[in-house]
Amino acid sequence: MVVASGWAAAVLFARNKMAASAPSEIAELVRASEAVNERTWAAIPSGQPDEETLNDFADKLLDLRADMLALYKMAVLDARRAESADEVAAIWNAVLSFARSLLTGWTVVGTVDPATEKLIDHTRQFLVRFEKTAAEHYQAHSRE
Amino acid sequence: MISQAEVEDLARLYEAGFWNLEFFSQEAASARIEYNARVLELYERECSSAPPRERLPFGEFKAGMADKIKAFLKKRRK
Repeated sequence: MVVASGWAAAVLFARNKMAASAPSEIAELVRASEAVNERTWAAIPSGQPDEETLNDFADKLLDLRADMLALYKMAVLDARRAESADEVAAIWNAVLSFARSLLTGWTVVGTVDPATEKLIDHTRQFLVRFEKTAAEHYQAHSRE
Repeated sequence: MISQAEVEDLARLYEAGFWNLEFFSQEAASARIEYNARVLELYERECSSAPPRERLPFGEFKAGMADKIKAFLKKRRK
């Protein structure tokens, strides 16, 4: 069984927040990562998966992590080139909003299979760290 | 008044903490913590004696400091 309440709302909130200020390059990358996340989400096995299904899901989770790491690198490079702290804050705000929406989604998901749950839990731990790191970048530059 | 040595030191931490491409770098994480602590120290030193109504908000100080460091690093790389 998969439970996803609240996630769609979180993604919409993040999109709206991003649209206001994120540089287009980062906004585009975030949209691409969102698509990777949706594919991963769709691959969550239901019930007791066979080995092939579980491996496919594990690969998709790895893809998602790789995508997030690429997004991180691109955000750092864009922030380096940015002319002001406000621009840097806008970049990291976009990344942070996206990270928070992913974290919300992967936190509320529930599965009955222990192997699937273990894989998801590992992803959650990564997303917690990602969100924390993006928040550090954002907070060091924002006027909040 | 923030000295040139303090700006250079902050720039070193900024570069190590915010320009590092390695997401899992512990060194970068430590540099970010150290940078934030130094900025807070400088704020307290430079702004805490001003009356509350005239005191620059911390967010403005922090963003201004990041602008200053970015400009310093840009100039140094030219």
